[in-house]
Amino acid sequence: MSGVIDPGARGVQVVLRVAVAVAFVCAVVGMLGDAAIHHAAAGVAIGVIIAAPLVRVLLLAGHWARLGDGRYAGAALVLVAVAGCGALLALL
Amino acid sequence: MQWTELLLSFATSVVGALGGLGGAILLVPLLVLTGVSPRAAAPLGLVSVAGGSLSASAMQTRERSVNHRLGITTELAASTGAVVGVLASGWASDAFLQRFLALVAIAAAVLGGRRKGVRNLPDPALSLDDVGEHVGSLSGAYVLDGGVVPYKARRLLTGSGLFAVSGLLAGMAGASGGFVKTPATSEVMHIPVRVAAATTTFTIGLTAATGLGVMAVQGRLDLHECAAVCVGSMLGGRVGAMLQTKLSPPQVRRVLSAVLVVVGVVLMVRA
Repeated sequence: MSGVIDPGARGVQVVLRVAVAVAFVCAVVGMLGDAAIHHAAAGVAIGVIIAAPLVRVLLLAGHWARLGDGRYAGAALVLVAVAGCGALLALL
Repeated sequence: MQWTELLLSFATSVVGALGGLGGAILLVPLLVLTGVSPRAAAPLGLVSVAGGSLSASAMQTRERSVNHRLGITTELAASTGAVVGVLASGWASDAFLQRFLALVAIAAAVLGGRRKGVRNLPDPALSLDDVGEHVGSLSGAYVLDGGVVPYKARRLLTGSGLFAVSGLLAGMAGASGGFVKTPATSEVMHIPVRVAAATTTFTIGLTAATGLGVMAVQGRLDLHECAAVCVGSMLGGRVGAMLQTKLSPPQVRRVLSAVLVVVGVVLMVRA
């Protein structure tokens, strides 16, 4: 399969663009004041920057699986699992 | 308004995205110098890395300069090392680890700065349709000065070993490890520095997100300050990613080497 160009997962581009826009707007609102709405907006911004990279890896895993690139799809899923295990271990 | 956090995170994220280092390695010491406690500065550093990475990623994905397969393969080693490092933290003193990381950063600066010219040259047989990563392998092609340059990862085992060590040290010392990953990818695995920087920007965002998730559950995030750092780092990440595409590989390497020297000195002084 070496040499075949990966067309790229379109969903990743869309998710990243939406995540950037939502995180930026919410972060701007969040830093402008101390009211509940500002606090909530800041929380959404941080939630988005935490979730976006993990969603990106999951979308890549799905895209690679559809391309028949099972080895790297599996690696992506293992990476998400390792990240999850790390978070769990840190919480213990 | 948290102007200090906003401006510092912007400036450090420009530099971080330019070299694929993440801005935290510079931002955290600077915040501490301005009076923020190290415990409060650590999550802000992770917000800076995650925000800068997300902001740069949209552009880098569109330009197809990120090799996701390489990033995920090497990050597996780094993440495993980081988990072991977190569990093993306490075996070595923080001062020892920071001095060790400082030496690694300075050695990487010397290695990268010493090399002249461009290792991977454009192939006239390739067109813009050939740009991107290859299915089923750790290779691909990227655009350089209008030409298309092919590349293929070499010494994967050595590179992964270095990533595991960088993850181990990062987990033990609380550093992001980006300043080890980019030079290891570029100098050991022979990936063009621009692809190496873009790929590392992707992986450090993942690492930072994992760490931030833990800190959020632990209630260590001041959302007001985090929002200011998020805005600064997203703007800085975008500017850094734009600058990265304008500079030649030797220029990126020189900037990277200069920043690595600063990082090394900062770490040595902190230790």
